[in-house]
Amino acid sequence: VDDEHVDVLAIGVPVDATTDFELFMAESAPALARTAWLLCGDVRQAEELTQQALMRTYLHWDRARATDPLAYARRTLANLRIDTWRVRRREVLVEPGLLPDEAVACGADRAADRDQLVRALAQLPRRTRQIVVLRYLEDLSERQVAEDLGVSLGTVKSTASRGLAQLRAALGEEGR
Amino acid sequence: MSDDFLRRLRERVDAAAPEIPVETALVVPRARRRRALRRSVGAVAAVAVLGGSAWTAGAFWAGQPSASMGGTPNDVIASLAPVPADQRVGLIGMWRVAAAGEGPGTFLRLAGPGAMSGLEVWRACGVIDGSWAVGPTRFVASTYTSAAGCMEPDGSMPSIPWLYSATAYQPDGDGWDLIDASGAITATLRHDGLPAPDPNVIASEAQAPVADDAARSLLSDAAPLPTGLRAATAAEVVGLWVPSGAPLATNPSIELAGDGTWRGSDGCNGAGGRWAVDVDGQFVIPTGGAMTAMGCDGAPLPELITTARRLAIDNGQLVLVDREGQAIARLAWGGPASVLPTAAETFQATPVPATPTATSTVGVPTTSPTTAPAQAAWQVSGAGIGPIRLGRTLKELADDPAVRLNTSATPGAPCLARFLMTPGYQISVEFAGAPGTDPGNGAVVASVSALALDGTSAIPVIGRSGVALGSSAAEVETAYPGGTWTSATTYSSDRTYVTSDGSVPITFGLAGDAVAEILVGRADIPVEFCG
Repeated sequence: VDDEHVDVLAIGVPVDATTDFELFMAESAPALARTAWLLCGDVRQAEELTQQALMRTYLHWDRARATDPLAYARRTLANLRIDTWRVRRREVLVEPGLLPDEAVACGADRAADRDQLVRALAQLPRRTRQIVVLRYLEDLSERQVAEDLGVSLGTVKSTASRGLAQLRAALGEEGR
Repeated sequence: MSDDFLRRLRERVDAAAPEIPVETALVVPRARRRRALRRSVGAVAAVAVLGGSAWTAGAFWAGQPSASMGGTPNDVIASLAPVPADQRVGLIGMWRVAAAGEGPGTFLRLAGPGAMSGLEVWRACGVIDGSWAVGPTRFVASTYTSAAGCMEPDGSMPSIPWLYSATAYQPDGDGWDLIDASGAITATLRHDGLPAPDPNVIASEAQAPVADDAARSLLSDAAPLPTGLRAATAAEVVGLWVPSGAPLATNPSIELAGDGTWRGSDGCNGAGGRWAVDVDGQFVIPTGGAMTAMGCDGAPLPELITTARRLAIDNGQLVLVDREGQAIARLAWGGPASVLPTAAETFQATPVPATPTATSTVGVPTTSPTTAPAQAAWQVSGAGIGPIRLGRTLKELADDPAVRLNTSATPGAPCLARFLMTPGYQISVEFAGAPGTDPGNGAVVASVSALALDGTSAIPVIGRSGVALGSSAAEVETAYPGGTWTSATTYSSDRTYVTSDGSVPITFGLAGDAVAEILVGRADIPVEFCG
């Protein structure tokens, strides 16, 4: 996020704006966390990514709430460089914390499916993953995706369809 | 049909997506702190503040010299007249610095102690940010971020010998003297004009700060220890301290080193700085350089230690007592500090020259980080990475002081992923063993990888021909000819170059043109292997 160094001179956010932000935060955090999880595949990273996105949104709250704050936060989230986070390359393989405490069959299935989804997404190149997640799993328009990620509409169109096909292959659904 | 696939995919995601509770209570306070930190560091190097990441501490430590005599007051300091609390507030101001090796236009801005950006060094190259704390005689300063133009050529924090070697202070006319361990004056501080405005810094920061009630309060003496607690001496608190409760997988800890530096981790992010125990037992420690990770399953030890104003030893535990005299934490003994590599060794992001540079020797009578030994590189080969060799057991690694695995074994999990988190990079170790294997003694290293937390950070994990994290694709191909490129991605890389040493695969993951990850061993342990 290159506007890191912009607006740093703003002093404080008014109290009512803070309340406003806190309401927004409570409402939007779950959805942002889900997006973050799809992008990074890890629950702890997703939480931290969400917190960082919210923090940056708060730092630019005047600008964010003037338009669509959720879009602003999501854009921030999508553009956080996940590879600068505590990257756990194959943490998705071993995530005991995600497994249910009791070995309930459906819980285990869910964990296994989650694992498969995460690993399939992880096989996509970063940019492709961002585009597939925002376009298909968050159901944004092609134009919104292009704006969020700062790429051309043509890139979104071509990458999205190619990425979806890759994902389909990774999930073993080719030909279905 | 693609639409069918998309529908099924969405259903699967909806069914499988975990509930992720996001702790939001700290978002606004952290944002405010961060704003305060960023306020004056417009053109700061990119390492500065992203999430208070461990990398921050790396850059921080790279320039954080040891105090010449550390936390233990000696006779020279003990003989100084204590400065009464109501006079300490006179330190707050914009001071022109006169010190050996320092340019004539340098100012030291001392605002509220303990606050982020409470200390600023104004040089012609820009502003260096830090914090400070004082007791009756001791002066302790730490720096965290720097304008890019002031950084050392190797990317480490600027050398400020007169500031780092200062360990005490005394009034001198209408100004102050900073004093080193030998009793020599390292710098004199005088009211004499203001620094030239810096376009990257808010104009009010170029003015003299005004002491407010909060600053007065922070400069006052801490309340006495609670009844029954005995003040700890500096020598008693040197060592490694860990939470006294149940062990946490993230291994949060605080190490108070005898050289007057400290470092610690909340389990996720590193932090560090300098500390001292004053003549009356007050604990003098500026605010730490990195934030506690909000979502960290650890313990906020860096925050706790920098909140402490007195220390006591009680039943072998270190009791942290805040300004109001309330005990805020009890920490258990985790071992002598000397078990660990020194701060300079561990956190030095890049090898340092063996000989001090001209600037770093001026005015520094004792050691500085430029004389600290560089951390021995961990060699990449088919055997593994450094001491993390394929086939070693978890227990062997846990017992190896050179390794310091960050997490402990999870009983019943035969396939284990373990990490060493150090600023700037991370070593991941995967173990494998047959289901039912005792993880400590049976599971062995199946693969080990080094990851740069920043795509370009250089760390002392070195392969053939000096190939390291941050090396280019061409350098990798030259050093390891005959490998194959694949488009396989990881979270940190876009493509990989697979080569081998003997029969062991070595994989380089590249983000852009820079090596972001080096993996030795099998990258394809089937998930079933994990039981």
